[in-house]
Amino acid sequence: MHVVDSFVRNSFVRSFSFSAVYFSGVKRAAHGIAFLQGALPSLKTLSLASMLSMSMWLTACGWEWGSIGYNKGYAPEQPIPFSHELHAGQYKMQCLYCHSSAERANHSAVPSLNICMNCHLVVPGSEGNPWIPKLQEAYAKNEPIVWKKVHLLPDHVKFNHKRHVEKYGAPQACHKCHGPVESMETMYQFSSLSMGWCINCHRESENQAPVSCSTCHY
Amino acid sequence: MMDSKLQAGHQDSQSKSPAESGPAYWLSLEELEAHPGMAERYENEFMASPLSADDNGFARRDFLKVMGASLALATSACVRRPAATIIPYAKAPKEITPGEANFYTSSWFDGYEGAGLLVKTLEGRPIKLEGNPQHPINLGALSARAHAEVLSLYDPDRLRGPRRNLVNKDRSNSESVSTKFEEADAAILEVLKKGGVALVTGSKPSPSVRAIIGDFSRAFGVRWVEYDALSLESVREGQRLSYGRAVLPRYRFDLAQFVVSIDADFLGTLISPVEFTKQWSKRRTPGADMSRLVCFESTMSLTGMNADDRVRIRPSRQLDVAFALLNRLARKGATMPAGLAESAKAFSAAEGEAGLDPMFLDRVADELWKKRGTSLVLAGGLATATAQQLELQVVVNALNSVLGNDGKTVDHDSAVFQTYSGSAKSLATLIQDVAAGKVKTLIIDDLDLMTLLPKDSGFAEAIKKLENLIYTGNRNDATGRLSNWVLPVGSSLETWGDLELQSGIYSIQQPTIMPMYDTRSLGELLLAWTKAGSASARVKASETWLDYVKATWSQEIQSKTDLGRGKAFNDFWIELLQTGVAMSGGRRERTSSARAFVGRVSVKPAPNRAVMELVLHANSQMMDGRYANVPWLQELPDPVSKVVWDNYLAVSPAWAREQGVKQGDVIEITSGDFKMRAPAWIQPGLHDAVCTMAVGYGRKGLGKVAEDSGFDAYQAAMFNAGQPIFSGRLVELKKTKERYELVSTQIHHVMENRPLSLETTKAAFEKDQGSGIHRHHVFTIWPEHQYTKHKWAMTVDLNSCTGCSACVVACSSENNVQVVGKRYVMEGREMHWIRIDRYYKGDMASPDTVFQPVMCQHCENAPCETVCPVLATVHNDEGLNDMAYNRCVGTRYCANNCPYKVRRFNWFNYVKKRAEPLHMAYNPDVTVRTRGVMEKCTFCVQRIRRATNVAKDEKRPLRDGEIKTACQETCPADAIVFGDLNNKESRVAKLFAEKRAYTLLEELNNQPRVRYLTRVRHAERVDEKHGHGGGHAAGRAEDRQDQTTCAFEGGLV
Repeated sequence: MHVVDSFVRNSFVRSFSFSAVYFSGVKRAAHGIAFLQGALPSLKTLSLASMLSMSMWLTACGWEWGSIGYNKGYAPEQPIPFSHELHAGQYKMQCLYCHSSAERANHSAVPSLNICMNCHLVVPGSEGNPWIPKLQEAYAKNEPIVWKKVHLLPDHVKFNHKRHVEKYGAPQACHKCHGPVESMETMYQFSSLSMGWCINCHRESENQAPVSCSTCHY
Repeated sequence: MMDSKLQAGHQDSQSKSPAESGPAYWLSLEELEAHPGMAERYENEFMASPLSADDNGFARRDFLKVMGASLALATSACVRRPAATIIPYAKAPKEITPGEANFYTSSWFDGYEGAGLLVKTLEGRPIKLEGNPQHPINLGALSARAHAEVLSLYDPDRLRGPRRNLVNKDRSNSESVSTKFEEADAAILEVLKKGGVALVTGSKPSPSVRAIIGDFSRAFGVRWVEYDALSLESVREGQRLSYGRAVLPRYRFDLAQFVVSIDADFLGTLISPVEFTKQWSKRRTPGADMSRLVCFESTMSLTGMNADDRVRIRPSRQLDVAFALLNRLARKGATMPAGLAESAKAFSAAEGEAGLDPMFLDRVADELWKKRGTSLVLAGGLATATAQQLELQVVVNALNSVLGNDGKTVDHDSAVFQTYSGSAKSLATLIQDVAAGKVKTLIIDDLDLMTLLPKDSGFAEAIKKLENLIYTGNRNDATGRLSNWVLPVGSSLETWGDLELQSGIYSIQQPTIMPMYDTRSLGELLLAWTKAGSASARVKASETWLDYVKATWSQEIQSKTDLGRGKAFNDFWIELLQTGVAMSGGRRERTSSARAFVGRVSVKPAPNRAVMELVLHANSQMMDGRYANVPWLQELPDPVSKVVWDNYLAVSPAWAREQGVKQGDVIEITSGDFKMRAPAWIQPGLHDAVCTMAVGYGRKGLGKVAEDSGFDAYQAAMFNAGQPIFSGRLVELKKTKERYELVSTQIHHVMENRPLSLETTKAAFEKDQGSGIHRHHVFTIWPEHQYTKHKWAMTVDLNSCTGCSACVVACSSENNVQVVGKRYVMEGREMHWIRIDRYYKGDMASPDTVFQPVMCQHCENAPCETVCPVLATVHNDEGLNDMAYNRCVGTRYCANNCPYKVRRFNWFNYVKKRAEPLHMAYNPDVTVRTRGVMEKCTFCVQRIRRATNVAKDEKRPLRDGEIKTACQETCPADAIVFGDLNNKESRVAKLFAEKRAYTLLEELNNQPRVRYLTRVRHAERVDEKHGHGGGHAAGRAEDRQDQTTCAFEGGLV
């Protein structure tokens, strides 16, 4: 049901999160009217002014318009606090070593445990690190680790990792969307991953990328 | 509403024949008779209110619930809830890349038809079946039922483990407890050792299964009987009586220039329809060599609808037809076989009373004689299962022998020997022995005999004598409930196996998923049991069923095949798994030699009776009803009537008018003390003294889908001590006051009698390939659209399309098209992206038929695009009419403005109604649409993307034919071609340029990207007046008045 759930969820999240903000703006305006009835020139002006001030306030608070519902900055706690900063940053491991399907397929899969164990069979980690034994134990029991999903595209969007990696190469292609992963202690969502954000790149003439709907939606 | 002209026309039609006064092409009787409801349908794009009756509550509450959840979500800024998770493998299998499909070769057999498969799997679960292009029988095509196997695997209603039924002495209670196989094994082995065991299976074409049954039989002294509900025994027996050897011949439609079928539905249900359609469609290329088909039919079958000439007969006249042809051939100089001479004389004398058209028979005989050796006469299937079924077969064999077809178009050498060895005769003896107490234990392999066997077989009484009844079905159905043990066999997608569908063609059946539940295939079951008995060396050496299958292949099959000769077994095995099929070579294209005809019959012509004859028949989607619980097949419109979710009693229009019977009136069928009820369906083309009904429906105990779908017609058959009679039973029909709602899709999405399905005659075609098409002079002041990369397009050849509807199911499987159920189909809400319009032409007693698949036409000037207020449907730079679901707000303007009626709206969240684990069959490459969204054919854009990506990876241009849409891939007639118009060498570009190609409603200047190739008929049946095809049809609604006027002047097609 994953396919279905997240499609439904995402489409509703998008549409209703916008409306919720809009309605809350109107509601504030309505309160204002009750308080200053007759003292202000017109209802329309008031509500517009109220919405404007609301939006200015949100922007001042660090809101980036268009990011609502897109989870930019989302950094969930993972079952094992895997550090990209350590692996990709300090040890300079290649992105594609673990995420090898990014250059082979649509999906860039989270590596399976046997990839971790390529090293961690012999690398025990620092003294007292509780996570590597946990990893080894899971592998021995053949139990998968349940990671929190950081980057979530709705299911009506088809993104092809392979095409992008092929065009710009790793890690340049990776950086464009996922940001400075090698400095992330905890993985977070760097870009909004909104459609507008995708299109901004696809529109650049030097990218020669298609922009028809069915490039991504089918 | 209706204009006065139309009304006048209606009154006229009382006196004139409808062909003169009504529309030349008509979809349904309602349309032909200008039923007032039809005009309303023309007016309404959407048939009923979106929220009606009891669904109101459900729909609204549900919507509010979702909305509430999303509001809560929106208020908590940046935190995403509920969090999604990713669960990678602990130890990833090497061959699996998440999201990328793996294809495995396998094969499929449902008891009647078999095919080589490519199973598309994702992360270890099969999601779609495709035909194996290397398999010589289906050559990449599949029937609708083969696709259904994948949903059958995920059927929520099938048993999840073995059951022990606590049956009492007369097997009348129905308590059932779950058990384990080990427990069952122990108990059953005790029983087996006592002896007196019999095993009943369907036809088993699997070499390994046949071998293990042999080993099992020897170990425990088991008697093995094969039985097929839709028997081909008469064909085999007829061969034995005629030539001394019982074979099921392989008919060669690819070599036949002239085919005469007597109630043989070879394009729909007989023996191997996909293979036959492949062969037949090859001979349908218009030109001098185009084959010709004449059908004498008591049912209205798919084959009859594709015939160049079709004659409706009673089943009791099948022999008359065969003898009439034989007599005529004898007069032309053929040697009348001695054993038939006397009967032939009797039939010759009585010919006048048979009600056949002597002139027409003369013409048929002439042509048969002219095409000696390249013609083919055949009979077979349920509709020929009359009391004279064997005599009919012998006379038909005689016809082929005197025509020199035997050994040429009737190939008895590479015959289908083993595939259909079911015998009702041996089952009848077994039932007698069971009743006599000679059998203690009966094992029934996945055959619901309580339903499949007619009541007079005595099976129900006989099994009360049994000590033990063991049933290997997937459900606790009618037979299961009476059994002591029900041991589910699971799906063929879960186990190893093999098939020898025709002699010398061996294919492998690979499991593509771990068994989902606690199930064991028949092979596994018997292997486990045989090990405990006096086992053969092969059984002892085989630890698992796979070992046994491998041993069979290495010991029996490898050396017989080209692939296996001179190889180590392991090399052979690996190669076999890749190709899926191994053959003993060269056999298939060779013809065999003629045999000496030794048949004798002594039969008298049937008297003329004024009684209704009942014909039971199979239809291509349901066959014996094995897949009745698969929603795709229930919702697939019947190729003939377009009725969904039901079967019915078909009667002729004249009879219905005479009896005052309307569509859906419940009829009581009586014959002696037999009684049953079924709703009437008025079927053009039926004989006035014949009523027909499809078997396979109304099956109890299969699951929620099959329950309440249709009526059980098996009970109207007679077992007749081992010669089952399905056809020709004399019945009385009585109209009751009850009504039953039958739902046909053929009055949905009507295109209002515009010139859509065009045809011409062979003679006219030879003079002018564009005949039958009225070209319009359309012009535009705008420059043409430019497509620099690709320009996708499709052609559909109406001359080879048989209307089999496999494409509809393939499309549903590929594109996650939802099933909506009978109730919503009634309201016109079926979701199929491709529909097969079926047009009748001519008078309703004996109409001609044209099939026309209609999918999104991907117009360059698409009317849907201009009216979408949110730009959810727009054109892309490759000429596709894109549909962005996430952008659609559901105004439905596009559907309203589409002249081809191909857009489908999600009125409800059908996704939620899909019971688990059916969701496992979804194709993740295609978005699952939610409520309130419009959808339609995308030209399988996901396949275009995949293929273009592969081409990019390999740094080469796309090859023609590399992209196949799901409908094209599965089409047994190869009627659909898809490709890139910018590639001038592509097949589609060449077909686009053919003079025979036309677009629907050219005058609207939509410039569709789908072109149809006109149907070319052999001359006789095409009325020149209508043959012109075009006429000036005004397509727009405001011009309808002119149009109807035009229709009655006969100018419009």
